[in-house]
Amino acid sequence: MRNNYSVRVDDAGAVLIPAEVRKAMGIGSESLLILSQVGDEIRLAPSEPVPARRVRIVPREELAQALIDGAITPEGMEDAKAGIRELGLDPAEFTPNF
Amino acid sequence: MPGQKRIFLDSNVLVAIGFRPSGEYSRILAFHGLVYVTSEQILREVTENLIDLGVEPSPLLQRFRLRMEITDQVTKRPAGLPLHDDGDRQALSEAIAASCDEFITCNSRDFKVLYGRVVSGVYIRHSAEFLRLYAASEYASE
Repeated sequence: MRNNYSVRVDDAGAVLIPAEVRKAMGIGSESLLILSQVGDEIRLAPSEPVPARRVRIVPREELAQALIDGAITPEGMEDAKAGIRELGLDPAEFTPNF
Repeated sequence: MPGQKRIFLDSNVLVAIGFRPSGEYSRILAFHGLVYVTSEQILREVTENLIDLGVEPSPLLQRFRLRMEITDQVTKRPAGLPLHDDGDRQALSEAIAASCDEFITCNSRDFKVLYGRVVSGVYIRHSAEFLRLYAASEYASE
């Protein structure tokens, strides 16, 4: 498959995506594409609809681990441990991964 | 501003900042030369999380809005993102749509396999690594 195609914009602003590109990329009628301007180029990428998003409550353990991992000073470590205790968890059960 | 790195913060990072305003995570928003980005959807999630943690969200949200660029929810996203959770896929899509350079999260359960990888132009990084990296540069420039 070629990498570059010359396409012409019609009066309505539409361009034709060559058939072999549509086939290779799985683009059919009613396909959604993301169009983005990148510098002096226009890019098209296949996309999909986004369903309504559920609110995710961050698990206490994930937050506790994040606090420990993010502690880079002794004061920060003490603050992280205090936060973990506030979450109702035991700081001794969490060890830094970084 | 041109040349400034655009950093997308996931909801868990903002929750960590909000939960421990005196902690290390709060330093993230003080780093210079970075444009921080998040989305309205993520701010809604942060609000719910802070309420769940017993933290009054309003002052923090005001701070986030002053310091960060807030994108609208994307209505479409790149196909084939290597994530199982719809919320994660949407958050990463928002970072991609907002032309961010990095996506910062501490959700290792879902993002661990992507740490250090670039997805649709966005580098996926753990928040603790980000904190260490930029804290070191801030010290170096002082």
